[in-house]
Amino acid sequence: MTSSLLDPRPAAEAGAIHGQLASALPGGGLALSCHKLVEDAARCTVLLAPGLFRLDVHPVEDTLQVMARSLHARAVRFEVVDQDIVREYVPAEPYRLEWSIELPVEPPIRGRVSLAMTVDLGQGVAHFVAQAVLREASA
Amino acid sequence: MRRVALTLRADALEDVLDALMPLLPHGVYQRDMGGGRVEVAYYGDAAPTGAELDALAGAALLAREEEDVPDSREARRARVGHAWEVPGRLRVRSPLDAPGADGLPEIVIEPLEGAFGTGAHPTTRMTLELLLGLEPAGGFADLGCGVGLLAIVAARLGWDPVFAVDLEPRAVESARRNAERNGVEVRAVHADLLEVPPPPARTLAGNMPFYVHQRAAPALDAATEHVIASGVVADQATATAELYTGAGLTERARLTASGWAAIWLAR
Repeated sequence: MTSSLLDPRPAAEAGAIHGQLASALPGGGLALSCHKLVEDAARCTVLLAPGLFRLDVHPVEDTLQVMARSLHARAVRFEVVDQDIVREYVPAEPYRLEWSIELPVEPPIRGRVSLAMTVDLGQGVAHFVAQAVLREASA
Repeated sequence: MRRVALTLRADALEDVLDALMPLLPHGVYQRDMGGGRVEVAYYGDAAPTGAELDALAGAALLAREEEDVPDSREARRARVGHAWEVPGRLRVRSPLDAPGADGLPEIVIEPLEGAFGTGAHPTTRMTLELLLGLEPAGGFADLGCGVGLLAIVAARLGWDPVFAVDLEPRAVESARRNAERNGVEVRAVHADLLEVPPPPARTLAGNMPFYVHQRAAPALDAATEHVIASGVVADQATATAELYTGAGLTERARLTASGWAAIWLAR
């Protein structure tokens, strides 16, 4: 059964310390949302879906690493569907990434994860907003 | 504020973080220690300590240190490392760090507010390590120069002329100031490598995103004999190397650290 993976209660409990909101979607599914101020060089969790995945960010100077960690025995697949390329660097301009994700179980769980980052180099911090919408493929 | 630093087996890092990260809202600071070890540090009085940690980290935990430290963002960042060394060859430090007493050559780098990089990023370190293995001869260009560290080292070692190129004007200014600070001649210039080809230098170090490598590789000058391609994550390393092998170069060495890669290619 995959429906238990989309139960918002474990995500709300596990994500509470991170300020993560977890709610049920009308018609079935799970919505996650979290925002954080992350210090330069810190690796920080910005989304936590127990039994599904964890999304970590690691801003270092002018670079960003994003680590999508599967928490399921079957690997959750992440695929970038949209990525801003900031041609003219503007410190206050947000950088955006969006992935489609799929957990290949029966029925599959599919959804989208988005991440926006705004960096303040003077303060040595980056602000992240992360969201996920997950549904059973048949829903 | 409590600081807890764990020395872990690098091959077990992600498994330990699976247990730790959900408990740490402010995250962790990682530092490669060499020899298959990595330090993971975190801060906060409510963070797990002692026996609780031993249970979480299990056999991957090699050492644990706990101490009380001031609550300072700068101090946390500094402990990840601004001053660093290529052992036996070179030390890179900020003006705030005390000079070494061992006679090791030093480069002093001061970041300009708003400019990229302190030169301490893993991609910069690996690029420098590869650069130190090359024989200085002819011109050198540091593409995506940031604070100018690679250009300054190249000038110090004997490449001439040396160019430092960046899209960000404040980075260009930072590279210029740091070259002056270190007493070397570097021509720091503003350029968009998506619009203009790399300078016709014998040796190029491109510490820049993959999409810039995509544009720069096919535009290489025939006079360029060595390229150090970096600024890409390890998953992009092979694709990055293929951009330059497609331009007539051959991969000679590849380094990876903390998920980043640097590749040396030569004609």
